[in-house]
Amino acid sequence: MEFLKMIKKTISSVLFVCFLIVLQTGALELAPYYNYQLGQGVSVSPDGDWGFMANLSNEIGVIARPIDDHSIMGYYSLSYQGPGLKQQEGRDFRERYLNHVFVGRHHWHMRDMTLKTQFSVMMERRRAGTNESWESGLYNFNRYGGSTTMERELLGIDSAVTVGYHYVTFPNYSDLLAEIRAGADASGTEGTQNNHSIRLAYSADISGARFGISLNPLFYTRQKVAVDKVQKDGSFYSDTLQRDMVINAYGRGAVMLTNRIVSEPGAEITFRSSNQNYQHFEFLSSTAPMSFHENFFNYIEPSLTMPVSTYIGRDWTFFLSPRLSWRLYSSREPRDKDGKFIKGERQNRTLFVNTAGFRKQTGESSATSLFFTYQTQSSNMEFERYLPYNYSGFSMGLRFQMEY
Amino acid sequence: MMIKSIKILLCGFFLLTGTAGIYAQPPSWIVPAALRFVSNPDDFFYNLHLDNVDYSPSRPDKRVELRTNFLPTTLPLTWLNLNGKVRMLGDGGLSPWVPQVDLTGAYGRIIMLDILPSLMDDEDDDAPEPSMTNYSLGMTLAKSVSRETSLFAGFHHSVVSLDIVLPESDIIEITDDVTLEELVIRRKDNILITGISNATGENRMITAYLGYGFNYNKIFSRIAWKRKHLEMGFNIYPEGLLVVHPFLGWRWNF
Repeated sequence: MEFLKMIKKTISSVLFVCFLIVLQTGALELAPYYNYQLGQGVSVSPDGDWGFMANLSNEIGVIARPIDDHSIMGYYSLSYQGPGLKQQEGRDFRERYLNHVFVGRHHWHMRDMTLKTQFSVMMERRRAGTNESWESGLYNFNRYGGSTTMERELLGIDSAVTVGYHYVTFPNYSDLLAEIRAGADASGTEGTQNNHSIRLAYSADISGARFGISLNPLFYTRQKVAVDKVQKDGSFYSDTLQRDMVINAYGRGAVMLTNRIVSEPGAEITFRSSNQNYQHFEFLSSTAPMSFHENFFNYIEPSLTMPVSTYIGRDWTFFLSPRLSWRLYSSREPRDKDGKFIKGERQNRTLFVNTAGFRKQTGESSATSLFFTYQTQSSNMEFERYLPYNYSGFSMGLRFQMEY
Repeated sequence: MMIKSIKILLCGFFLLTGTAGIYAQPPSWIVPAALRFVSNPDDFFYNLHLDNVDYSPSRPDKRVELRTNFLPTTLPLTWLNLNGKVRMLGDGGLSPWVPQVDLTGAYGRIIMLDILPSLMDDEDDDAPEPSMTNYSLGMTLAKSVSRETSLFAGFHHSVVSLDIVLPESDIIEITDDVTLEELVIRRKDNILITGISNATGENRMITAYLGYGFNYNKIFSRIAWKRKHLEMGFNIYPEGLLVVHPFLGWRWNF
């Protein structure tokens, strides 16, 4: 119900602002924006089960220019992602997501620079089946915050510098097993995923190509770091709070291969490091850890993309979008089929996703695509009781889009 | 008589499933689908109610629109329905940025359920009186953004209700003071709609919208191809018992 109240309040505020804008319409230049997308098809999971797949997204926004050099944008997005193949490691294929995003943005165009400031609220709800309530998802989260971007020429290069802050809360999160092991009361692990997230980014346009780097430190407000010795309070957690750092660098650019074929190759690398460690318990009900693993969550993830669009006639486009990524854990040992850690090895994962299809522009603002996606993942992680690590699957269907 | 109706239904069910079992195993999706229906029956009926109602705006050149939905409600469920839209304010009527304002309403009921008791009544026993109705009330705002395209948004209160009034002979006495005389399954929701319409020719239009129900975090969508009178398309209920509902409707504009 809290979630419902929050949505109602936010929508009421947005509608009120829209109403005020409408009252001032005589003095304003307004430009609406709308994007509707429906993806509908079937996906075949690793165990050969066919399932309906539905993804929906809806974006609505308005840009107003109240004074010269200033523009204001209000934006709301509602999206749903249904069950199907997931690309992110550790995601259950049955999971479905419902997202609300509200954004208010201000652009200030100065003589030699543009300042973009935005505030946003995002609410994500997750569930693994229709018999579960959206409100009780363990990893439901709310994210509040904002960012400021300065765009200007620096050393002769078109550059953008961004500073951002978000506070992320997980209202339902609790780790009952950790509580049982630590002998804590029910409130012991609530809020332990909440974190302050800071983002510092720089990006540049060089000869039509875009390059960027970002630093994203996360400071957990309650989650303590696991250690290998019992502490004074009887738990395996020290007083130090968890801190993560995500560093991302990318480069991409559009290349006209012929006058009908355009490609936009890109490369990206992500480093994730955390001071968090991992205590392994043999059974769910175990209270004494079997083994301790330092730097369990640190990894490097490079990826390559090579989307190609071929324009056939006036309305038709053939698209191909392959993506290859690797994840290499720096310390994590993979596990064999029985769940035992394999000494001397490091866990890794290779993921290849390729989407191909045809897109037809069916009207001034509508387009329909027929797509086929093939996805395969391989890993030296053989313990797949809860999540798949080695699989191949595909999905196919139609995507319909209307946009203005 | 209620017990009699249940017996007939159960006999029919076992006859069908038993006969089917002789010739073939039921498809594997039947059991999960049946369980999903049992765990959330109101959602299925609510989706059929949403099939009945069109939340897009009326034509900008007409003041009134009446619409009825044939499939999948009138046929095969005998769920008669009427959807009305009245244009209160024209697009740009008062000021260039004032949108078209429509008041909308819809009502429907399953006729077969209304006549069922009279078919089942006999001299000794009265039959239970079931009824299933749906209605919707709301407002839609629409704004044309180019010669062919318009955007719209709306807010609607939507209700679907299944009532079974027990005959006097079947009223269940729980205690001396408490009796069970009526069973009601009612689902109410407040829906926010946002969508887009694109004219593709004279009297031809494609409309797509997405709806969000606040009370149940329900998301659904409709894509419709509209001619002068005929409307057809798909309703999408990503979390529904049946994800895709094809529909067919007919409308009149005045």
